[in-house]
Amino acid sequence: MTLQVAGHPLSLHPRLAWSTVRVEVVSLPSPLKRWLGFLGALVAIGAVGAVLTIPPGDEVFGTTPTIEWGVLIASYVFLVVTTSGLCLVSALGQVFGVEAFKPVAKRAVVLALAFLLAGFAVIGLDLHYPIRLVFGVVLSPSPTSAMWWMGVLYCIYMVFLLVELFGMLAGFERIAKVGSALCLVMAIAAPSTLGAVFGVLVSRSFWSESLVPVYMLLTAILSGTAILGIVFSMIDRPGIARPGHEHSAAEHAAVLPAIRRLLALAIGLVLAYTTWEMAVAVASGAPAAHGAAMAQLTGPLSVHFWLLKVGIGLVAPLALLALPGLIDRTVVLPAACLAMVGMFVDRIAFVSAGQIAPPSVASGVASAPYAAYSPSLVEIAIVVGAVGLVGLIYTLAERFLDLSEREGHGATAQAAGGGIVATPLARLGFVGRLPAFATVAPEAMAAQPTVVEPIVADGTAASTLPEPFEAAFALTPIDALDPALATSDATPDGAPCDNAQAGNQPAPAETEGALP
Amino acid sequence: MTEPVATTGECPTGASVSGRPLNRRDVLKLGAALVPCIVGAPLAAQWVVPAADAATTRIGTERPALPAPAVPEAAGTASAGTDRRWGFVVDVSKCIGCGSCVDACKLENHVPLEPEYNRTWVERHAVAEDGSVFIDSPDGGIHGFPPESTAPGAAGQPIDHSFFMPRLCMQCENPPCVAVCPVSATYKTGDGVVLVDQSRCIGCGYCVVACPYGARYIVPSGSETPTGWAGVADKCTWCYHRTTRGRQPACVEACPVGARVFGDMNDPASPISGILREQPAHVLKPELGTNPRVWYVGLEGEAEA
Repeated sequence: MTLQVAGHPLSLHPRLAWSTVRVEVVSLPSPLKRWLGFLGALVAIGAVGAVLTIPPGDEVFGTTPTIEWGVLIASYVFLVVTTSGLCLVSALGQVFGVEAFKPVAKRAVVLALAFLLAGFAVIGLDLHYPIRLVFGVVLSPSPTSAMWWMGVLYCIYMVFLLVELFGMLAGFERIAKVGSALCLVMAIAAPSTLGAVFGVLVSRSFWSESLVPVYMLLTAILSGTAILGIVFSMIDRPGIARPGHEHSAAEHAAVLPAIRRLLALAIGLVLAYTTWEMAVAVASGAPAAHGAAMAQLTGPLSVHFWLLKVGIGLVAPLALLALPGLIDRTVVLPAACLAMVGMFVDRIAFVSAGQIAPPSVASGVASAPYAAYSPSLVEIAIVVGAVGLVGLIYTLAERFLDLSEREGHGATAQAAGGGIVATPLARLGFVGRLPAFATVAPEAMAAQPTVVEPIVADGTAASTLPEPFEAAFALTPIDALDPALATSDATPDGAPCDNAQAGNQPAPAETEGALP
Repeated sequence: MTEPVATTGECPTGASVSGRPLNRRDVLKLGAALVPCIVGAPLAAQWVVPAADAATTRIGTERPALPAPAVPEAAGTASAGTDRRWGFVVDVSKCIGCGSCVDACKLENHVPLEPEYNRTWVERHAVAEDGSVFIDSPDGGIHGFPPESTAPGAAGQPIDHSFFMPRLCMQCENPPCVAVCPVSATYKTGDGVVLVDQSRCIGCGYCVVACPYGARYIVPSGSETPTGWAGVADKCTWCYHRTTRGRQPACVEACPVGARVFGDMNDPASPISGILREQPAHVLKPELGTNPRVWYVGLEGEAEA
């Protein structure tokens, strides 16, 4: 059994799989290797934190009965709301037809899934009994609980995201379209429900308002746009995409200017919201709301609020984006990075402020000292791991999946290849061992360069490998279906070519009789 | 044309229908079949809940010291749980802040001994001459109180008067903690006590955050856990395991001055009914609409002295 991952065969035999992975790792450009190593280290730090967290009730978190929700809840909110922001921005292109945002579609979905998975990982570690949650949500549903609705909606959301991703990578445009419309619906429903988790708590008057779900949507657009700004500022760097999958800058030339405007708009909206949120809370007669506002304006959260959220996270990026003299490429990356930092701190400030005025002071007749909380090393490790996980998933997807939107490539190979018919899984890049899903026209086959040995970058010829190894690679990768790509894949640096094995054993390839 | 297309059906990945490759229509059909499953599962689960409850209860009873079943043993009739309505009165004018109730509660219920974990605790409200109020509760009041208030900013303030306010779960008629639990692990009994099924609790902390009275905490692991579970929510049950056997809560028995009164509010002859008839009573945070069933009496002389 062999898997074909985006045109690259991966045997399921452990030894062969390891050798394939080793070859793949060896062929990575050095900067990418260092970057992946860095991300892997972050994930490893998170894994250590996760292991320490597993025994339920061990006091590895800095949370107390007074501040029960700490940085992990804040990180969960940050991660899953960013997911929705990505879908909202992507929907501008996919659903509303705004041309400038069309090139973000695939990357937005991959990023949305990465953020959602990282968010699930963080919340799973924050819960002491995550398995009970899975059964409890189904077997003893609690429709009065906003958290129950949130859990259900985010699970459905993930299914829709997978459907959309499948549609995009497999080239089913209608599935992709329907998927992105469904994801748009969930991108509004899910984070607003998350806002309601906080908003329904009458005991926490800083959270307890109907505008918190709206705030989640506003900040979703901010963080979703910012992360796309970071990604689209960086993807042109050489060495990220696999050889032959590089995309031209022209492909997404319109994206950065559009992101610049949308990010500035989102920051402006969040600034306005923050201003009036604080003004209303300061004027509030409810001690918890007043205390929460004062804690942020002058109290223990003032550094979070003034310096990190408002200064670094909102005003600085807005000023950068609004500067007329600077070109998009210069300003979007730093502004988006600052905005992401600001949004992360905003989540911490929001979650902390709601709990900072302790409720166990009777009747609210007196002002109390602010409750104190500082995250433990384990909590920080988990957050670091989650960030690493998002980066790792996205970088690997960028490397091994075709995330570009150009015509005649990957998903749209059918049109470009002339007479090529690929089944869904083959279009997705996954091909079973025998027989191949892919079928190819003879003229396309004739155009293949016959390259026999560059499977292994260290010089070992493919033909010297043991029999099962050769057999395992005896496939027609989907990229081999596109002659134009086939030639471009033969890179001078000896990196493994997607279609290197096509010439070895073309037997699985098959002419589609129905087409000329 | 050397091999038939149908051989794709042999693919080990199984992505085929009746020997032909999956096409768009199949995928859409699959999706159409999945949607009702996803939507219907929670609905269908409502009928499965009793079975699930039975299963979890069985797991729960294997644990030591789980709260007694809701059927009262000393009451005599099976319906007694519903025609009784427990209430709790705290007489602020009697409390001397000795901390016996906190101590008795921790011993009775295996509450963790660390000061931040309490099912009941005592606060001292020190009212300064300028009217500002300083509240402190050193170690939950378990060791009593030092002469000076330990609240920040209270040192050196001329205190006009002070009083003690014992705190415990309010067993609200309209409990926010029950409404927010995503897995229905916390619930209200027929006689009006809010309990936690700790064999189902996921430890999310939503109820801890939702409680307006700070009456809940997540049990830390260690030697003392009320029911043997760590990492789950815990709270005052008004000693449900005792009251369902005809006894008084541990804190009520331990109080040397009778500041705590527990009883059946549906019984006009009970002491608690008498107190509530004769004295003005207050609840905490009435504006939240939780309808607490802990009444504070004797506040008039203390708060406005």
